[in-house]
Amino acid sequence: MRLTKDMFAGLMFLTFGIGAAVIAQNYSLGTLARMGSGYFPMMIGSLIAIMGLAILVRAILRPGSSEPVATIEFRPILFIAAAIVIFGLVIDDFGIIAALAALIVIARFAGREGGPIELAMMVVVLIAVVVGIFVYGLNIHLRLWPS
Amino acid sequence: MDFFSNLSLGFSVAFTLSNLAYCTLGVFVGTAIGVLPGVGPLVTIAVLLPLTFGLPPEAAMIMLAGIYYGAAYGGSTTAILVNLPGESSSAVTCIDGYQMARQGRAGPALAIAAIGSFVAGCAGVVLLALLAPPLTDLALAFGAPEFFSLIVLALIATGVLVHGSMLNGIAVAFLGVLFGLVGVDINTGADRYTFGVPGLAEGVPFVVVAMGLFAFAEIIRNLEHNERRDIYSSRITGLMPTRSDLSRAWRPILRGTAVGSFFGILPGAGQTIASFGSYAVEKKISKTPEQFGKGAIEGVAGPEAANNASAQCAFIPTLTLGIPGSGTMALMLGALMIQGITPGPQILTNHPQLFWGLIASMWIGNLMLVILNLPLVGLWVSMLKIPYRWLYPIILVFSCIGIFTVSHSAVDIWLMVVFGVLGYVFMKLGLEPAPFILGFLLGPMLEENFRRAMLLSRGDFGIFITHPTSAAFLLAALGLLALMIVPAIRKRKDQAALEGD
Repeated sequence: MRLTKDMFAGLMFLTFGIGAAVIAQNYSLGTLARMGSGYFPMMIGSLIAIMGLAILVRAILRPGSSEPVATIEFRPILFIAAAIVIFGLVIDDFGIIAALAALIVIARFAGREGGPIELAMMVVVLIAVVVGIFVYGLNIHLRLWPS
Repeated sequence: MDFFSNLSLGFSVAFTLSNLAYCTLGVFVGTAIGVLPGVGPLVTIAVLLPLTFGLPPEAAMIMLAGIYYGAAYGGSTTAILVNLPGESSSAVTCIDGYQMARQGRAGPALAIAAIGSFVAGCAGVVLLALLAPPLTDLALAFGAPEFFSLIVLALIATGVLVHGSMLNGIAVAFLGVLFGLVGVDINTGADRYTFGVPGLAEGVPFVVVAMGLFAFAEIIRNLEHNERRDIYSSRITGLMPTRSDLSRAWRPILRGTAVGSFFGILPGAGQTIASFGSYAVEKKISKTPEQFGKGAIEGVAGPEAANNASAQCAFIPTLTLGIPGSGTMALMLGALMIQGITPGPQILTNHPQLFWGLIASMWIGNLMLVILNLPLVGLWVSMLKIPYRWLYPIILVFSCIGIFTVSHSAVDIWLMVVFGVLGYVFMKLGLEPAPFILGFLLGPMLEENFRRAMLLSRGDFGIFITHPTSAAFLLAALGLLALMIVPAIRKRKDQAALEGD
């Protein structure tokens, strides 16, 4: 069987919908006239699950209606995600200069172009611009250096 | 006359030195970024949102609006000069605009695009000023059932009109609603879907969703494709259109304005459909349809006017009803909410200086587009030569710092990665993210109005049908669904909503 985009999309909606509806059982449901915190989420969850199921069934019955999923290149998404996660880890304790440098350097590996000198220039210029705009321009209190 | 006293209030706000500066800055930045392929207006507004938090609400909205229509216009400059639509809505301008440029008539094409946009912009401003007060009065009379049905209509319209299958689009919109429910339920105080994550009690911050879904996913897409762009620079000789150009263009401009205004007010339709719609109209009524695709000036004038008119008119439902019709408008509304202003019909009565100031600044912004764009064409073309490997670190840096300045929490930065991955999955599965952000923003309102309506009717769904306005909205939503089942119409929509905005 050809795995199409719609099959995965249907599965995704089904999972989110069922998950949301099941979790909503832990919240008080109440009645339609006096809804608890779980009533509306359960409705929406069920609705999404039904639509997901419909998309999935359609995709299985008519595989030609949707394209196969394109190949996934892991390099960009892994490095960009890593760069942001590490930015979040560094910024609290080491200040924005270290965090920005880490962000830019790691993100560089998501692409394949550009030499080290260009990278160094980007780091310096971008840090200067950010500090200039946010710290001096907008007067937002951000720690620059490690404490 | 109310109309004139309102406008004069607006101009008194817009003409302060600082607001003029923010308007100029917005238009300039918007155009510059609109020119860059791969950095759309959604990404621009998402990334620049935090910069506006420190500003007063009027200045913030004026600047964001400037970015918005600057980007709409910047996209057409590159469409004409190098056959690259900066935004999906200017894709149609490529067809005849680029042909004109190849015939050495880039100047007149750019000038007609600017004039068309300006005329449409003026009409949009007048329409907004005329329609806003009555629409607001109408909306002030809305109760919970009416708002519930209106939001349902907006969600369905957006889901239906984006590219791809309508079921997928609606499902994405409701997934957005679900994510909008994360956090403390205001009625009962119970935590929902917070999974013990600190900071989630107040819900997922809007900027985090916007940046993850748009900026992050778009960076990955561009890095995956990694296409090389060839830049042809055509020499621009003579900007002024000839008398015959003008006489051929003025009617398409007016018709394009009408088409664009119509689609702009409709929720979900957006600029892409407006510009394609106008092109189809011009080609159909032209006496020389064979010239289309070979450099017909009508094919530039109409769509460009439609594009800009719909960009302006999209503000009408957003500002008067508090119901955004597109992803970009959802961002504008999100910016308002971060400023502490509740969207809805009360904006006009509670914040008249904001409302009319924004409208007046739109007119000034449109004038600036004409003044800025034509002399700066050389600058815009040279910006096309900036390689993407310089651009994406800039977007990343501004996104991360922007989120951190809003919340001072690393958790929000990681949440951005979560939504980024979600946006990436959407992209891989061919799902449009715009309905999601709309659903996310409208989700809490949808729930609140649903609960109130049910409380009023003691649990009877009939309330949505017995209230005539509410019934009309639901009927419109049903009508849209029914229309899309007609295969011929669905096919046309897919041609028009190439990417959606």
